Amino acid sequence: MEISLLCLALPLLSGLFLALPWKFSEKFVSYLTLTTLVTSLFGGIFLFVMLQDQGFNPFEIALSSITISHHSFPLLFWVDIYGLSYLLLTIILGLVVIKFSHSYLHLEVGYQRYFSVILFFIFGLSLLSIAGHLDLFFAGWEIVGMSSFLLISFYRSHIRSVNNAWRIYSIYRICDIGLLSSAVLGHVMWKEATTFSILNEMSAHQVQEYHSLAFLIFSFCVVIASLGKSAQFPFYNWPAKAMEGPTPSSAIFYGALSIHAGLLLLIRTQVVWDSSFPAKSLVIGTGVLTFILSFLQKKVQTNIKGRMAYAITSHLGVMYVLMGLGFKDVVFVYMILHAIYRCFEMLISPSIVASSELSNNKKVISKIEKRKTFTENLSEKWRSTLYLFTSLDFGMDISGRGMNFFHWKKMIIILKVLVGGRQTGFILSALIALFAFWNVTGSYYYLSVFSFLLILRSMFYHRSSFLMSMDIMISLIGILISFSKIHDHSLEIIADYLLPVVPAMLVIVGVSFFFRSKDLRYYHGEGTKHSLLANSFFISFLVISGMPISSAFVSEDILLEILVEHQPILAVLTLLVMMMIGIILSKMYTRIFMGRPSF
Amino acid sequence: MLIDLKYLNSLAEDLPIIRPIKEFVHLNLLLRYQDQDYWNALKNISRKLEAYPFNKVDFYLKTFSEKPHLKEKLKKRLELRLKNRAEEGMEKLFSGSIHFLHHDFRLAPLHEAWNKVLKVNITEMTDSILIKWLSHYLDQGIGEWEMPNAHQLSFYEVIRNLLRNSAILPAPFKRQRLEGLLDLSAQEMVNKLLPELCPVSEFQSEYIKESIMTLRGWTGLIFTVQENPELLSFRRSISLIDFIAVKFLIEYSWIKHSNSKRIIPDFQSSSRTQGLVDFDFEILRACQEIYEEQIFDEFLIDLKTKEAKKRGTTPAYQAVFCMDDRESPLRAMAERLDPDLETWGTAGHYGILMMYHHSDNAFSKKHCPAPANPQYIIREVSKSKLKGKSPFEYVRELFFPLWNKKLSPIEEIEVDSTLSIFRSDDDLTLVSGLKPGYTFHEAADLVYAQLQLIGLLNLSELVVIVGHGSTSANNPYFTSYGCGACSGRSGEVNSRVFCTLANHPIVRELIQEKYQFTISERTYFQPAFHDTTMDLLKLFDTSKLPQHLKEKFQSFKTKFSEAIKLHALKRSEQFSFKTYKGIKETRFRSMSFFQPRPELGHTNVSYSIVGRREHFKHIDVNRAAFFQSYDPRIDPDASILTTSLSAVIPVTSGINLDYYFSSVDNQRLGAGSKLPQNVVGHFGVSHGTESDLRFGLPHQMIDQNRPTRIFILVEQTPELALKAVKDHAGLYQIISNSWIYYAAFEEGKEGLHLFVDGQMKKINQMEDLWK
Repeated sequence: MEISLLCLALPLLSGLFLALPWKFSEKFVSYLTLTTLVTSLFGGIFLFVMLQDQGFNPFEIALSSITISHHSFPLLFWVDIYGLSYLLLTIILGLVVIKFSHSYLHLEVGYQRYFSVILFFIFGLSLLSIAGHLDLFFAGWEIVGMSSFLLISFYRSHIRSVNNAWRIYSIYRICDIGLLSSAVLGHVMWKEATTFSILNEMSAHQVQEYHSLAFLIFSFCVVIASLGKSAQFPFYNWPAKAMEGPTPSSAIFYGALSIHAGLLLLIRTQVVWDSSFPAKSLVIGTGVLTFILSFLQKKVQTNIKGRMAYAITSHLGVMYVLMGLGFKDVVFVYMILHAIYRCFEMLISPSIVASSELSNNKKVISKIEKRKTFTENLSEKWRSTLYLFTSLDFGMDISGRGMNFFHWKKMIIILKVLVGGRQTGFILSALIALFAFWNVTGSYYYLSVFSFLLILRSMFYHRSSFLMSMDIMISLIGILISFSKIHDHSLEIIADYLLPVVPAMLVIVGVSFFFRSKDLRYYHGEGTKHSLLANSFFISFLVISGMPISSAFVSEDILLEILVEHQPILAVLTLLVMMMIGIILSKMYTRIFMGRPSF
Repeated sequence: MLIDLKYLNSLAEDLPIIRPIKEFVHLNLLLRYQDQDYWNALKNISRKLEAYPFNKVDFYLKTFSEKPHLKEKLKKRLELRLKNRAEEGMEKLFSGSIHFLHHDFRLAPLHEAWNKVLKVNITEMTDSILIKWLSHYLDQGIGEWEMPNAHQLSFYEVIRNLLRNSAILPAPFKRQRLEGLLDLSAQEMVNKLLPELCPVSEFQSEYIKESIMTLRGWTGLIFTVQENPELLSFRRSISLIDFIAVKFLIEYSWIKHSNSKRIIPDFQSSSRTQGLVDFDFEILRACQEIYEEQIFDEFLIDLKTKEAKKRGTTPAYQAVFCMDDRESPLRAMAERLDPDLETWGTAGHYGILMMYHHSDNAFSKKHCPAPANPQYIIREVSKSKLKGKSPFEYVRELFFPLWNKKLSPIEEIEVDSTLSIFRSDDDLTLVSGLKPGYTFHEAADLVYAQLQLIGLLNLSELVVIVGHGSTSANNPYFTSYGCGACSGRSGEVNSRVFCTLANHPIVRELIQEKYQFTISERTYFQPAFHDTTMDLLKLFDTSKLPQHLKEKFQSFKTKFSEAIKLHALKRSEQFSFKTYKGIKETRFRSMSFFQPRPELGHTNVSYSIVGRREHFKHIDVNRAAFFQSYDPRIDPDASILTTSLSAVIPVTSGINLDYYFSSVDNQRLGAGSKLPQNVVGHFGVSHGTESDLRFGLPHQMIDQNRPTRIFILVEQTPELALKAVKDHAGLYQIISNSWIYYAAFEEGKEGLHLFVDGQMKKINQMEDLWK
């Protein structure tokens, strides 16, 4: 059993190996990936055989758990028919795409990087599909999001790609709060991680008995988390913007696997959200809205990948509706078939030019006639309105306006007043920190709110990279100080958290000091010149933003758990701060190191 | 200042030429610069388009380190050009300190001024809407809804109607802001909004220029469509003024939307870098010249050292190919294997200027060179229905492209459709403005003119007419692999039409009557088609072959299939990534969805030869060259040569320069990588979903190319060779502005005559040019 799990972890090892700074030959890279995936496939098949032995009754595999300051993080896996089918699908489609990419990416700059990221992605999805509890699920989820970011920005010198990658990562990040908080809430509710075996055994009736408010929040968090990944309203516009990497990577991410991961989360947690009416109506409501909007938008798309993107989201909308109505198995089969079909469709999308040359006369002509007479019964007025709105993405386009969904300028002025300028900010923070140390009542709140505002300012106000990194550091310190007084073991937990974070933070501050003169409104593409700085910045970014690559991932979890138990408001602020730190760091990374046309 | 269409068109002169992707023909992207001297044009490219016009410095340094004698030449050349700074130039080159200062793609400082004061990216927000609308408007069939009224109204009018009729307006647009604006015409709109967007009058023309140049893929296409609306199957009337008007409208709306305080930015004149400075330019120019000359020198040595063998008698069979460079190694191989075969080359449309309409297709397609106007429409009615592929077949093709496929080099095909080729003399009906077929007189003229053009007046009994084309599975650029003389489509139909014309007894009679030229009864023209990607020869309707040719035909087939196998083997070795060997590999590449490089295309083409085959037969078969057959003996006043060159020079120089510019700066003059490309509206490709259209060739098509200008060699006396081009203003312009090398070669005489400064100068090697 352990061996099959090891097989499934192999993509991680190969991915890390390929991410090393040495350059390997194309042949080696592609054969390594192929063998890795074939091995993984065997691992998956072995699990499947075991599952069959059990008469398709789900079972758990527990490995030793990681213990950090009296809190354990169990490595627990949950094998059931849904997760395992998804796992097998992942590996098989992964094999197809790797095979495709082997010759397709020949001589492309970044060949090795591509394969390494694909391997990380497959590892992330495998982890996600057999994770035994929500925290482990979250780890896989984060890996998928990060590899998505890396592949959208595969052409690092293309500004629009990099920009879109950052925007989509921000959306992921916002929705990840949902999953993180539900994982943390689970800890509080069950006094341990939310294992899927508990959820599986729970009947709807039992759910009612639980603390209903916590459950409601839990359900909402789960649903919101799934909305981002599975591109549902209001985030349904991003897949069209994500088609920036090489075609096979778009096929496996947004055609097939990553985009259905949100549904898998819903399937896993169905018993919880299904019992609360508001969450269920949220699922159905977003599904209906997404279906209608993307169905209409698909009609006006005139580029092939954009059209596929909206076709995919509209199907996902249908799946959400079905899911909300409780047809779990139908949705699952639908989802698997849809993933296979879309992956394939996306892979052959460039052939549309040639195949349209050869297409049948009558079909083409009838299509042309239809094109002209669309919505014939509508008056000119409503036809124009419909077309105008669909062609402008119903005013919900994420590109261009960036994060300026609202009128941020007024907000910035308020922030300036509250947080102060450059110097006053430091002085104020120092003062509040002192108060906190003196145990002045309520000063944790001030400190956390202050940290929150500080980070908010960095997020919406263009500042130099150095000042931004200082903001991050100060607000992290602020959060930690206010946390330190809450619990007996606080200091131990903080020490554990800081162990990886301090060096990472130092790297971030150092690198941003080095590039302090760069205006972050523009892209500077320094990555080609300073690859070492870029890589160390990236790794530090992963550590600080709580990616599952260091113990900070676990400590952050524990920290939040304690906060939720004792100071829920502080927990929410901390969550928001963590989210925004990720967005800011990814912004710094893309703006400093990516996006200048290489020559 | 007032902006009108004329002013915009003058700005558009700097735009690269971009054609809809289905009408893709290799063209010099910078055709509009062709009235300038080549080097001057390169200088302008580096300044106006911010593109780098030479090979990379490292490439030259590598060449010079491999061939030290070139270094000496370079030194001499620099002394000639830079006089006393030659030493400095050498040092600068070899110390690697020549840098090309290029802009980022955000090269719009005036637009940037707005972004700066408003703290939002107005440019990106505008472009995002503008690109959506443009692709919706121009769409050729991907979208399911057509933009309301797009087939009747111009782009600006369509957008105006949308905004006017819409019940509510989305984000940046506001009814009260648009009040009055929407009644204006496009031009009035531009003139009204320009002072709002750029209040400083001295920068206004620069502002317009920026607007056009930042989206040069789209504006280039718009300008092409504006000039030639027939290039789109669904006609659209769009012009640059429409583009600017809509762009300004969106920009204005966004600015008003985010400018609550009515700030006006501080416009400053842009301090643009000057591209390559003159000193660097001269160094690089010398490097490129030395590099080109070295390549041509090798060719000249080849030409000199080997003696041509002459053929006394008429060969057993002849094959006429397209002059395409991809056919020349195959021809050389076939001739080597089969002494009974003689090959000829001419433009692959075989003189037939037609639109072709197949009953399975909704539109008729152009099957003649891009600049030519088709006069005929040839319709084909297929008896069997075109079958769509089942999903199962798609999956099979994806994973096992060679499943159940025969790998024979030659296939015989019985065509089960009818071509309507002839019309009667008094038939005056027109089908979509074109003549629905040839009369016998027209056919006789055409056939004779074609034979005379290539000097094929000594006909064998079996003449195979080979059209060519290409099959590739997952490739938006498939037309660029097709036959250039057929507008990127396959030359199959042209060859079938030509053979039907030439085989007709009445046509032959008329030729006899008009030109006193007999085509013997025993002569038969056999239509054929060569797929350059798959390496497959298709022979059509072999059942109609006369009895007396059966034996000859058999021997042709066996020998030729050997040649194809050999050719495929040679070709397969050139690929840097291969799965199989020989013909299996070429078939696999063409059928595989996994393959971004189905074939190497016109990579490395640097010669074009116009003359008798026998003088050039011995030249290394790997050296691909365009080969147009021409017999100087029947052309005492060089009039046939002029006709020949008027096709050869534009086509070959177009292909060559397309490859050249895409190779030297693949980001700005080429299409970048093929992998992330997305097909937009069946007329273009872009990176991702909402960005500028890409033009030129992708990096997958040119990565084995060594960029040089093309060397055109004609077999004729220097006087007549000069006369042939002097009469033709277009040709003379290309030659005298040194966009190509033009040389004349005479049978039995040493050396060449190369065109320099309006004269044909005698040279033995390229170095002599500078003495």
